[in-house]
Amino acid sequence: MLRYGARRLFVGIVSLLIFTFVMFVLVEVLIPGDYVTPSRLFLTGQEIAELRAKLGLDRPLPVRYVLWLKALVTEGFGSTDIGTIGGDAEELASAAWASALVFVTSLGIAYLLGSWLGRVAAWRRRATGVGLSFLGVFTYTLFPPFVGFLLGVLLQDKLVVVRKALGAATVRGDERTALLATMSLTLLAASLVVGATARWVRRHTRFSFRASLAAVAVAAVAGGYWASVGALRSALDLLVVALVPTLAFVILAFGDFLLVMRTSMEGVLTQPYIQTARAKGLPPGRVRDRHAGPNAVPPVLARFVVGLPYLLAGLVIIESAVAWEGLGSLLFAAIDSQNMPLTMDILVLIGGFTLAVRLIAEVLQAALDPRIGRPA
Amino acid sequence: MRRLRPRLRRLGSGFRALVTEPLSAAGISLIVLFGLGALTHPLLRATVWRHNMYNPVTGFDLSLAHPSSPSSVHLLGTDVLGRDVLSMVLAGARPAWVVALVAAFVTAGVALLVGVFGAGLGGKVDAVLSRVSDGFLLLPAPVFVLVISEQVDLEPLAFGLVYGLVTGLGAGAIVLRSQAIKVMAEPFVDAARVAGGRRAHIVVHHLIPHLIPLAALYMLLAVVGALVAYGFAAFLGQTARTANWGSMIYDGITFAGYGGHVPWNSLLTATGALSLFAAGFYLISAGIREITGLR
Repeated sequence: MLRYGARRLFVGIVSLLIFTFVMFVLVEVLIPGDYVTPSRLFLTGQEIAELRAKLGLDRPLPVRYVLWLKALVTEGFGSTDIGTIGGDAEELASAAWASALVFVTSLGIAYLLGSWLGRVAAWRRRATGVGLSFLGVFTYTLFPPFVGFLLGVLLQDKLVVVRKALGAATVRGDERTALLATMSLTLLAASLVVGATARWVRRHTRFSFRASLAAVAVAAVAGGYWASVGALRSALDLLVVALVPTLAFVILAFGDFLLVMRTSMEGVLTQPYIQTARAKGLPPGRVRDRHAGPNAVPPVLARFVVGLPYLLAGLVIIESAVAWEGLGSLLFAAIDSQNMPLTMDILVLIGGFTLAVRLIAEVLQAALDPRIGRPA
Repeated sequence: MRRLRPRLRRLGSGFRALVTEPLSAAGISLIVLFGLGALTHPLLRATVWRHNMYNPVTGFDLSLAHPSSPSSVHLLGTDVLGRDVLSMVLAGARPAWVVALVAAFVTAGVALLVGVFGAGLGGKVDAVLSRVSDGFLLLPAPVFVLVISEQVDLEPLAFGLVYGLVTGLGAGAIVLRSQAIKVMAEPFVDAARVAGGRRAHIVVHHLIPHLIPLAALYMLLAVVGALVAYGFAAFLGQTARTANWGSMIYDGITFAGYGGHVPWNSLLTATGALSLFAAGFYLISAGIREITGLR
């Protein structure tokens, strides 16, 4: 299995290289002008030429690609020549963690909500199922800026009041980035711990976790950690600020989970062991959540991996619509200032993240299914 | 004629299944509604809306203070800039249709072509095509078109084309390729080969018909993404010269900041139109998934 993982990693890196090259060429060919173009009105012809030479923009396209790639590999994200003008590395780190926080929080909520509603949709009368599916479709296709606007109209005043009551000092710069990183990572770790615990409890006891209980447990574990490092107040303050993009993303993302879960669950419910469980007189909720639910999850996860680029696209759109300073806002700022290396870095970050998640999913699948990745 | 009739019958029964499944039935009616909307706008402009104040881009009614509530002259009222909202919403259906159709057929065409070529030829061609598809799969198509359209004013046609190419080469090609490999391993393909069918015959008459439902599914999903992305590109200020829903929403949200009240008549109709049109395509794909069990 280790060899399979290594092979997939190699193939993945090759695709990532192809991806970066195609993106670089397309972005450069399709978008006219360069970093100097927007400020050409204020500069003389010679100054423009000097600036171009200094930034390496006068080199041919393949050379620029190699230089950009070299800087990315040796010095990390946001460290290209142009980056030295604006200090892109810090901005990129802060934006990436800001996106990560919204992504982790809202995806967790959307998954719990969507899969629960999907289970209910498959379990209840057909009319309820169809109704819930309609709800899923119509929230999924809502226009992101409109959702952000509505939430803003509804919540803005209340959020201000809550933030005043919290009274946390505003954190800025590196401190904010560090806090965002801590928060995203603790939330992720807490979900993994709670998920594993819930699985263990379901296997070994008669008790099973409800989605709401799991959410409360994750919040308690993460909040406990923040309190222990003395950052609870500022962490809560950041969460309040992030509430509008988070809620918007939940509204737009849960519908797809709901629809896939419903289809998958309907397949599971036709299995004979479900009939047996019901015939034994087990309470319906128990059959639904303990016997059928877990077996309906794999297709939902597979769909999550395939649909990841679209979820990320939704995040980019929402962030720039509600002015949350994440990767989405930074991406549009970078294109507006024709900062192509930074634009490329953000695209690579998105692509690399997708690739990493897919690799993990593939290796997990190979670990669970002995037929994959071994000679027949 | 003798070969056509069973095919038409099969098509008919497939259509009946789509119409009886509630999700896709709702989707089809929504799309028909928007088709009528796009068709009636030029007709209305040529008959009852001949006055220039019904122009969806430059119209202005001098006799009213704007924005105005619905009235007998303006059935949905006027927006902040004095344009007739109903006329704008109907006119916005046209670019949306262009984006939807172009994105749909380019996605399906490219995905079918790449998937069938890869699976049919195998070997090095397949390996190269697969790597290219893997690369494109890493990129969210909406993000890519938004990156391009932030600096280049893409017409609806070009927008659909770029979007369709990215989704078709990426996700579409990968899914169709794996399905094509599965179909090529079916017994009926061996039977056709033993009966003396050549490769081209097998691909055209046995492989492609079995790929069509899946291609349709992906093409409909691509339309949803393309419509939202196009709406957002317009929202960000691109393609604002044509009447479209994205810029209506932008105007509605922006001008809500002035004068303190939200112009709900233009805001809600435009978001409603965009979301329902996209939902129409998504509903049909959800219906196909329910009927065929494809994913």
